[in-house]
Amino acid sequence: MTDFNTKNPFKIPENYFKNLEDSLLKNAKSISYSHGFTIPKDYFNTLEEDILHKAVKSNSFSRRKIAFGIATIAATLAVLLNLSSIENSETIIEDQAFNDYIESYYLDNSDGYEILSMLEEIDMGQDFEDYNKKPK
Amino acid sequence: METQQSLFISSLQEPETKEKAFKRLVQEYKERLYWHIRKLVLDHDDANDVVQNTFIKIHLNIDKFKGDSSLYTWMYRIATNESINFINSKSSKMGLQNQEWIEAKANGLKADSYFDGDEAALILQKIIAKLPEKQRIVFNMKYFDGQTYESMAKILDTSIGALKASYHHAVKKIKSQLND
Repeated sequence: MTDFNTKNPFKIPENYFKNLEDSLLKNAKSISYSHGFTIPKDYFNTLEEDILHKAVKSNSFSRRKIAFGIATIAATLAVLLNLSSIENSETIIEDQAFNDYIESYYLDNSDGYEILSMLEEIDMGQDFEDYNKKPK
Repeated sequence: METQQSLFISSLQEPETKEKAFKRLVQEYKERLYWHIRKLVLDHDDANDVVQNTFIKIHLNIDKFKGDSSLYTWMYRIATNESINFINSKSSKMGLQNQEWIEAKANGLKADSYFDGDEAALILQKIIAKLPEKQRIVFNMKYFDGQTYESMAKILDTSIGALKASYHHAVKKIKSQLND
């Protein structure tokens, strides 16, 4: 039985594939240049070097930009934290001063009965309980 | 099973292999991208600037490439956008519309040392320069680069129907101008 898989029945002209390659390359070239544009000699050789050089340079520049950005953010946060802690301590001092003022106002301007009436009942109840628990 | 392209993309995105893979990318695609850009901006020095900017952009953004299109489509799209941005920038600086700037460049081709075309090629370039931007890009990609509508649709993010219409109008205008 004839082995159809190993015997190719089709023939081609001599040097067909070599000629095909040349023809394809020639056509490709003619397509590229039919628009009339030309380039300097060895342009594509130097282009590669230029691109690689610039790409590495732009990459290291962008890394430095990122590092600078992080440093700036860290410094800004540090300044803001310091400012807020100063503000907080000032707020505490201000609140305390305000409380002292209120206290002294009432003490100076109210008699005993008025002060007593300001206390809530539950507080008074607790006060008396505590008083009763104290050893006599 | 990973394709050859996905392996190549991985090597472009890995820090250890990025530079070597990028070098290979430049070797592989520099001519194709250059010629695409050159036909849009016309001048060799301008095309040189744009192709370098294109590859730098590719280098900086390759980590963001998600693989939802082929690598070549993605790069081609960057090259097209960089060319358009370049034209916008140059024409704006000179106080011209994009088309005015391109037409001026086309009119200067005869004196351009890097233009070797005959009278017919020169006339064709001047007529192409008069086309609206989209038609000019589509015509160059279809006629000179032999791109299919399918690949152009991915590169330009435009429907095949719209591309066919653009190309049809471009060819009609060119034929009409050539007959005049």
